[in-house]
Amino acid sequence: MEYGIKGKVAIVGIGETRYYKRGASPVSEFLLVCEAVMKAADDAGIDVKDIDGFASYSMDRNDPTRLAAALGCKEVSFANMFWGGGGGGCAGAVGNGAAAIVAGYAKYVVAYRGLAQGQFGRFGQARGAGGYLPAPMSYTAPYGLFSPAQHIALRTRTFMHQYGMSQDPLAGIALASYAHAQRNPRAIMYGRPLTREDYDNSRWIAEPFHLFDCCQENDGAAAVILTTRERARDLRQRPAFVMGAAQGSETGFSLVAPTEVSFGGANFKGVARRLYESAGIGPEDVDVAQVYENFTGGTLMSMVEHGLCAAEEVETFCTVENLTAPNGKMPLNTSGGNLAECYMHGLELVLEAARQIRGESTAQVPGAKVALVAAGPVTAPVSSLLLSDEP
Amino acid sequence: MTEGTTLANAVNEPYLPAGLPGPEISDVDRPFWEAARDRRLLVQSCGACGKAQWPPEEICSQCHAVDRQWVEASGRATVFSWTRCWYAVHPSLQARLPYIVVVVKLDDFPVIMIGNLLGEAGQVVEIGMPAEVVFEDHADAQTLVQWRLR
Repeated sequence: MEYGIKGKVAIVGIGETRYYKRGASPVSEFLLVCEAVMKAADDAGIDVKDIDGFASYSMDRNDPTRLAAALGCKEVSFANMFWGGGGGGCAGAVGNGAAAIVAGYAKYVVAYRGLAQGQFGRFGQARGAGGYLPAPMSYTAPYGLFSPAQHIALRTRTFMHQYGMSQDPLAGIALASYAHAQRNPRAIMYGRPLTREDYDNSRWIAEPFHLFDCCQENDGAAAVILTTRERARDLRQRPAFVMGAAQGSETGFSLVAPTEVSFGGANFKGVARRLYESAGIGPEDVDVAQVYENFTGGTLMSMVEHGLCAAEEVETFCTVENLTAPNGKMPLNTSGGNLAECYMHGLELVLEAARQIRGESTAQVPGAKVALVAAGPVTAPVSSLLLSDEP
Repeated sequence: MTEGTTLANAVNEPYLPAGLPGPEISDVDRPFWEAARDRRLLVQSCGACGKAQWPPEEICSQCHAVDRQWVEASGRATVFSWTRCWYAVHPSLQARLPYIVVVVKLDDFPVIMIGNLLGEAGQVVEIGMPAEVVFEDHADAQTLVQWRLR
């Protein structure tokens, strides 16, 4: 198999709005996206009107042609949506943008995501009473099984049973995110540290998930700008090169219509293999990891499938010490991630990976050369990305 | 009626309160839901190659025949996973917390199914425990396929 992405494209600009608690944005979702895209262009040192490619995911509501018109972009040469809900496409939107650049479809692609729940309502909460739902919801909703938290709790329970795992690795992942958020003034949970006692005492949502195993829901927008290696050299920032990108699903895997296919897993087995093959490196080369946390159990299984730790070792590996920058064995979610920085459907993780490569994180891993982004786990399709400091 | 899916395995006191959405029945799964009313557990099975599929699909993933047949399962199963739910994901659940969602693997077909684990919400559950089907009748609504430890 021949891969054609490695080192040819770079993230050259990152932009984000202030992050808000859910429903608290003072402006519309569309204006949030405009702001994030303009900030990313400013960061890159390009004219926002030169952006000619648009990539998003999770059925983002902000149509790229409206966005291009509103920002006065000269042309739309590429407009793309990564299939699937949740954050499964936060890396895939970047991967699709990178592919478009390599193919010559566009010169500057922006990958973006906006969320304003005051305007559009919440996730994780079914609406309405009674009625009927079609398959596959017809096999779950009548039994009170609606939310990703519940579905991923079922998957996590299977993993825990298979490997004899306690609650400790889940707590370790949550505590590491909160520890990193205390160093990040952008983070919603900045100034709100979490202790293991707080974690243990927090209410159950769906066993084995406590409240602090679950991501936030927030308002805001984020964007990254991609261009060719050659153009990247002339721009303002140190490029974060796309070293590898992969997407997909195991056949038969579905969050909402589960089968036995990788039931106790995150759906990254094939994706992670292709990711490392496309980059020509292995998990041992990863210096820092941004692994999407919808729920800590999903993060854990994603880490295992990306080879960051063995399934048999999660109990001793996933400690707050090992997962915290700068000295941990595998610093994880160094901005605070979805749990404690902001739930921007994982695009904030891509920005943080670029910051690590630039050396600009608030929880910097010294000399980080390779950063992994694993998008939303336990859904389909999923995606991941490797960034590096050189092509 | 076959062993394991007798009338004794039926309840008419719903585990979860009224107000949750019911199953919207389609041509693909109508036999399953109709059989549940008759206290029989059916699994989709390809008429050409015999492959069992769940959830049901329009086409056989093995031989691609569009020949949707159904076979009766014993109703005996094993706990494959479970979660005790403490958050009201739907307004009608607010006064019924916690409750248990269970995934079972059928003993006689290689498929998993989802339901509630009937009984006390605080009961001890472990993966691998034997379970059996229970048909839960709902007034003016579809009979649901539920499970309990055996």
